Amino acid sequence: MPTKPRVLILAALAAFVLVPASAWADGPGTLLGGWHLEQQFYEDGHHNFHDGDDQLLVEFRAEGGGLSGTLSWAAHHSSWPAYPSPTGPAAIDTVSTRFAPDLRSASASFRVLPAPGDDTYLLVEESWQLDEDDRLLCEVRIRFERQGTLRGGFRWSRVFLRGTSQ
Amino acid sequence: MRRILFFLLLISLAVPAALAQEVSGTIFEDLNGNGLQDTGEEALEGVSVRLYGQLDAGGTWDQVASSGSDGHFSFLPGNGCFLLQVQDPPGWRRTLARYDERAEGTPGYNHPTGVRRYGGSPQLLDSLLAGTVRYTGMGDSIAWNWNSCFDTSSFYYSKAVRDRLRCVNPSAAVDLDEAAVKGEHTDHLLIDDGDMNNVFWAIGAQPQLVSISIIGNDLLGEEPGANPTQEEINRVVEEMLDSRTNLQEILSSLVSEIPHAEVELNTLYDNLGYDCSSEPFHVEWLPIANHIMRELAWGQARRVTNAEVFAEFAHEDLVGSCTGYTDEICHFLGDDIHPKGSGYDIIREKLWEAIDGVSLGPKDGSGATKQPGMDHGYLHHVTRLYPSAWNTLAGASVNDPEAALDGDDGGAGASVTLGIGNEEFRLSGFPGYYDEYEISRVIVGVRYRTTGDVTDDFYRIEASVDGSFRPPAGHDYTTTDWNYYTPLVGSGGPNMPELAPDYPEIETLVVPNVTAYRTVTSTLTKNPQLSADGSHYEWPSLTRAELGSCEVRLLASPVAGSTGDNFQVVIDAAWLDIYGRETPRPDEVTHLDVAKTPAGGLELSFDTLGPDATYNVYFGTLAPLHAEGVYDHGEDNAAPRQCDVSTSSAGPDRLETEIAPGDTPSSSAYILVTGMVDQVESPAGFNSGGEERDRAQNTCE
Repeated sequence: MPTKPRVLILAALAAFVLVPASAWADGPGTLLGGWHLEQQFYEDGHHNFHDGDDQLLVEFRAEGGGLSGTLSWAAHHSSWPAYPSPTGPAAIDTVSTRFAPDLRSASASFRVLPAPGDDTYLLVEESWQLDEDDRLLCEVRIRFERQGTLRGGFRWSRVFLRGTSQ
Repeated sequence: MRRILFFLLLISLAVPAALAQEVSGTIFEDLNGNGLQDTGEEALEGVSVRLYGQLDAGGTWDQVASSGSDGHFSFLPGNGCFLLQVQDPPGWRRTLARYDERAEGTPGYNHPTGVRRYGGSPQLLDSLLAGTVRYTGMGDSIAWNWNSCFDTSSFYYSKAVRDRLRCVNPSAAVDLDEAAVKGEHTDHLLIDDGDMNNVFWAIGAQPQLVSISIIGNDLLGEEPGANPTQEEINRVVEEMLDSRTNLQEILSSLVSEIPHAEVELNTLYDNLGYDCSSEPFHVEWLPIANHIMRELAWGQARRVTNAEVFAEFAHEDLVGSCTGYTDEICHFLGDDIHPKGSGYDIIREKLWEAIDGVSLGPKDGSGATKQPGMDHGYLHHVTRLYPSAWNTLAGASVNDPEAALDGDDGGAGASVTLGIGNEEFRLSGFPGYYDEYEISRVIVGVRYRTTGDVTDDFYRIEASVDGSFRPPAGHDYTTTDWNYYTPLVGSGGPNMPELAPDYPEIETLVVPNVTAYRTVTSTLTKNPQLSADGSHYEWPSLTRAELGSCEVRLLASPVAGSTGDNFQVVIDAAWLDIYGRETPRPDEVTHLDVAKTPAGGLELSFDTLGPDATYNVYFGTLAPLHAEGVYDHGEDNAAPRQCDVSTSSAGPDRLETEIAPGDTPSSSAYILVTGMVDQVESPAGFNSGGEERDRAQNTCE
């Protein structure tokens, strides 16, 4: 196993908990507040591929009549929506976000630009939904586009729980 | 003197360099098909081997060698890029790449090449030298080279293999079709949806090389959780069996419809199968999925080669030593499936080896300057067995059914009309009495064509070792009880798997209307067994009794609720090709004398077959022998057979045995004595034409 960048993770957590306390005041009933990734499944499979090695944190905030958020992983932070990569947020464009007035659900779509030396765009659609058990379910549909043609994709089903640690 | 010294100095410098740049290997009989020369597996002499390529120092290397009496061949080309071409000796079939495991960290392990696992694609060099290789990279995200770590680009390893082929013959046009589509299943390769990632497109394109990475997504969507229920196991096993059926249709169609193509199939690595923290499903079932893929590839009418990715990644087995290739997988944010760039480097090397690519020096993945282990195993084709019986089920009708029992009748076939129900035509009665054949592998084959017009009421062809074809209703699958049939013709189709049919657009038949006879084959397999220590599966060879119980069936597979198509399937023949060894049969026992003993028994004396022989005595019913010249000494006749009777000397080269009064026939009978040497029984007798009579009745083992 590779050596975990524990120092970086701690640094990231430290940075994350410095977010103004007002952002954490949100309780059950909306997706506002801080969450951590607990489980991740491919398609309809039942194997949890999130082994806890890498933390993905998200915080949603109500700001200026809208919904904003921050994603954090390792030493990286990015405003929501974002596409994490090991070296930081990938470059994205054509960003669109929506949220329900009751703040129980939200969605985003964007396009991830090709990595250097490649010509593959990722078309990402994510939908966030609070469930009855106060878990935040996120379905991420990723499709591949190459030279103007869709070339398949996959779906992740993610489960986030409240709080910033597992 | 100085000149001589200088010359000697040159030699001393040149010889080590030449030896260091050796390409060599051994051609051998691979009786167990594991890709390794084990004790008792003999060398094959006189096999032609060609090495062609470009030297880094400039110029073309093109030499042909022949394997010696020890099976060894070697070349000393120098650094460069090459293809090895081994001419399959007549009557022998190349086995697949070795799949033994060696853990990362083992002394001598070199990333990314690890254990070299050579396959062989004998037509590829011919295509390359003819000037054109169109290479189609089909499959899923692994063929695409995706991962969430963003450390490789699309079609990375396919491009690398393309470039290596260009290196071997720079004057050839080598182009890559980047056909793979992320997330696709075996089902998608059988849907003509307008993209390149299906067999219909490939057949249209007629490439010279096809590589396929597939099946992972089939299982991914159905995989159970940490503590799977039996219902979850049943679902995923049905998916696996559906994938096997799909893959058979995919591979057999590529092989028959693209005659010049070399086809390569990646085996399925599974890091979760070799991680001690993972679920039992992966550890227990993925080795089975891998074996299915190997057998599917090997049994095709033209052997498909494997990139043995599974074995190279697999270093955790059922015992669980936890030394797997976890580091080769992208673990970023729960990807946990796709190789990192370094993992794709491994697949690149296995694919290159699968087609017998070899690089020396800087062009090799590990910089090696010699390849001493380019071993190639072969299995001997010992005989082809035809069925002797047929029957119809559920209202199928057949004209000239006997024609399907003979593959040497000039193409005469049994013309079968199916319907839109469960109609079947079955062939059975394969001989199971050929004890001179040591069975290693069996390939089941069928040659067929169609008449009329097949549009939507399709057909399938399958084989089954015991004639059951499917498990009983409600069957619970286990790792040693899942293998009930071998698919030959027809995909899983839109109604499969039964527990989760999910691809309504999948074609049941890639080639529904077959105007000229088409040959389709596959390896006939049965359930594995768990080894005594539980560390791995063993895949026992078929027994002679299982050959005797094997059945092949053609069955209706209607898809649409229509009134039925007007077509017939004409079966020229079905057969079992036996691969293994043949032991010489002992001669017929001769000069049998029979005398009554004073006690009322029988004293039999006969010529000996030598010191290692044992003897059997059969009592046959006399009437049929007199009337029709037919032996009838089966177990229910005259008197019980006596196997391995005790004998004593009756003079020079003569033996005698005594049959007790209670064991003698009560009425007229004929007496037959056979001998056994090395578990092989001598003939029962010959007719006037020199043809052996009904061996099936010789039942002593």
